[in-house]
Amino acid sequence: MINYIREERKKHLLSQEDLAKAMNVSRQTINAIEAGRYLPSLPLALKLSQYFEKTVNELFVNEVFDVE
Amino acid sequence: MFKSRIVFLPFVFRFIGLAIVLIALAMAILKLTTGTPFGTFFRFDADIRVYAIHTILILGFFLIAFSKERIEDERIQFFRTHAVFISLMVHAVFFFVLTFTSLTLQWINFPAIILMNSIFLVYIVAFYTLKIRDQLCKSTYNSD
Repeated sequence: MINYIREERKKHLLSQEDLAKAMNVSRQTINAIEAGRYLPSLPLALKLSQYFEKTVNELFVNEVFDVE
Repeated sequence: MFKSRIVFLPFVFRFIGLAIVLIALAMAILKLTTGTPFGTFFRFDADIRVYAIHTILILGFFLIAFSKERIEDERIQFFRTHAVFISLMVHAVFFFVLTFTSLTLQWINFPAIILMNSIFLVYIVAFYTLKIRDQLCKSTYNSD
């Protein structure tokens, strides 16, 4: 699965620390999500999508099933 | 939505637990220097001081295992769950092997207090190994 969290974060001129504080998680969690090492839970994915004003599908793409 | 109701101790308890573990280890080393054989720590008929050392060790491990991380989030909960399963699997295999060897070789007895220490120790080692391995993991992205 690929995600566009890093791109959206950069667009909003946020550091990983800033985004982590906004999401109430650690900076390491944001880093792990961006690096694809960790899949966020549904509540966190929804929180991210609300924060960036995007849909979950726009932020997270399943390489096997989702075709852009 | 299901929400975990497990209450963890404040972060500082991790250091208190570590201090207690070190005290217990110091007591164990002191006991060994008095001529007590190392095997005594794994015997039913050990004296009360050996059991006291095991109990203090359990307390220390308990405080470390049940204290919060600095930021307790879902990724940490994920590592905790995995660490619990690793500890369960290790001990299940251990007991299977122990039962097999007990039946075929000789009967091996040890107090349950050692098992409790072992469960906590394997959980703590597994948890911190998972956490550190994730942090050291090379990714395709650079963090800023």
